[in-house]
Amino acid sequence: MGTYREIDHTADKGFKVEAEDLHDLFETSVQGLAYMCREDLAENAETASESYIIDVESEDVTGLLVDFLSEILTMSHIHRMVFLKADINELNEKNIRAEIYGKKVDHFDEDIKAVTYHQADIRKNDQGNYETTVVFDV
Amino acid sequence: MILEPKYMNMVKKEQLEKITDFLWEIPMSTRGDMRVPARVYASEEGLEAILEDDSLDQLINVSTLPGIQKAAIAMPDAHQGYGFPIGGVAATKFPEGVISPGGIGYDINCGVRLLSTDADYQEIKGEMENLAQELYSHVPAGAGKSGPVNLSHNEFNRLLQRGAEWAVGAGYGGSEDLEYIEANGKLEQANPAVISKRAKQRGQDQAGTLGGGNHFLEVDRVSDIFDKDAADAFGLHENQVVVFIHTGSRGFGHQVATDYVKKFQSKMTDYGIDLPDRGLACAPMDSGDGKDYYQAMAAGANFAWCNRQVITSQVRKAFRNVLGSQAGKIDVVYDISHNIAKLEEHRINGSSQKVIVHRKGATRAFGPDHPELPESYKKIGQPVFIPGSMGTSSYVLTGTSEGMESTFGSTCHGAGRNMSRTAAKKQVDPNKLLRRLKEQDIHVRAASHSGVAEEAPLAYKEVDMVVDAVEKAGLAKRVLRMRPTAVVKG
Repeated sequence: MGTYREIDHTADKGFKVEAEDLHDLFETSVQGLAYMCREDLAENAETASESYIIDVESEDVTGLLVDFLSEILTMSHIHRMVFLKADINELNEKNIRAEIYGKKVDHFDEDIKAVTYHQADIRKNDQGNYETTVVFDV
Repeated sequence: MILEPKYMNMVKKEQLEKITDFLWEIPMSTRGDMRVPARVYASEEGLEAILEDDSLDQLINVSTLPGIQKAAIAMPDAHQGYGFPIGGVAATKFPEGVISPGGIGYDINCGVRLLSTDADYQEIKGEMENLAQELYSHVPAGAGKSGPVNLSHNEFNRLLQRGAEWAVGAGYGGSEDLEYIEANGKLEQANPAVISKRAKQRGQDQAGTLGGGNHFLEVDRVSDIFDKDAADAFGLHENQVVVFIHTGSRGFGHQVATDYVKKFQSKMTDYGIDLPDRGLACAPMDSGDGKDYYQAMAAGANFAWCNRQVITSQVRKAFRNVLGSQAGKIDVVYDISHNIAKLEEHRINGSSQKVIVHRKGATRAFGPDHPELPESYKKIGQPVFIPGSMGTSSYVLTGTSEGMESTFGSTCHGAGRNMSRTAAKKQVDPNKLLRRLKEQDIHVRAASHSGVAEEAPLAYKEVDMVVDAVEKAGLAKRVLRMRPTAVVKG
């Protein structure tokens, strides 16, 4: 399983995510987003009670991650849920199909306005892992 | 084609030319793709703070936008954003220049409204804690909260077309409020047909809500008057109780922006636009995509004006509940956006030109005699509101003729952060901070304690320094200072 850690950003919030493969990078990023929405629930994926299948298309793999998280954030607001986990069914450089698992909540820790493209750039690091930064507008 | 952002090329102080003590320029020769110079309005100390993040690299990127006129401009409170810096202004030629959602921000028409009351601070000082509580219960704060308005699909479309006027028609305030709102609270171009169903879903129950982050609802007292004539024109005097509302278009605007930022990512090649940062994705204003976005943004702006109008009505109720007739009349002093693009006429190279002025974290600040100002403010200039943080002063200023020439009639929008939210959370104990503020007669009601820590005064630049730079650069003139007494935070 990949890892994410919160980063310092003057006005906004974000995390750096790292994983062995793209599949893992995308799934771990969903956990990072859950952490930003509700820190107290992020580690409790088993408490998810509803799931949705989402399909996202984008221009390239970095855009795909931003757009995928953006779609989950939109679903979070519409359904008032925190999505704690994703199972990816299909993933290539421009498309993703995933089942996302969420839990109803009565509030979010942060009023996240958007997932931005700022500093997002999926690359392989010196250890051969994939990594990127994801910044949220709050 | 969109390149990956060049974040590692942080601009150095020696690359800037000092034009005056409060104006610095990055010449076009700095980077081959700049179409105009980049200008920063700041004191030397302020500039050094701005140089600590990527703001000026982002400003150089803004200077590459097709159709940009005169200069890419950063305000004294500038800090790093996404695509554009926060505190950035860019005017592009109409109609062939581009419009960029990144130059407006995700919170379309985030802005500030100031209300005046008849109450004197010394007389109602003892009620401030009750007022904070009553305001908190009338105006939902924090993420994911519903407001007092919940509309059918058709009625929501009417709200998007009519903005603050819709709210007045629905009983939230009176028609006299509308005169004192930028654009009278309605952009005619708003078109619900170019907006996604999900954006409407997110907005349908959110009018009348504050949201989180740096949004607030604050009761202030006027503490110092610097320009009595201007203060008189705005109906403001020392020790008067005033109310400050800072919020935007909520989930509706966030979704409109998200939808169009994504849509524009794939359009850059079609328009032959080559940009250094995908956060700047844009479309020519005279293209179908450009027009669609402008109409969608206009609907976002209308939603925000409606939101602040509904909140105004809730504030009036809360004041009446606590103070009865002592609350007196509560009037709108002005309502101004700091995240928007507007079609305006400005003098460029000696002639009047129509431009699309992007203001992202920057406030419109029209000088005296501008035709868009209310009659009673024409001689004075447009009121500008610069909030500090919840423990510090805020300012009312006026726009100037000089600012019309130098910054397309724009000025800064706040103190600007100088510490990350994560760092502030680590350094600040919210309970201690709330106690300390209470000792200073500042009563805070907040939806979340972590939000209080993130918005602590120490996380912000010194508002006095920012306002001083704005005034000395000639962008706006100080009218008065206010101090917080009751604060509602998301």
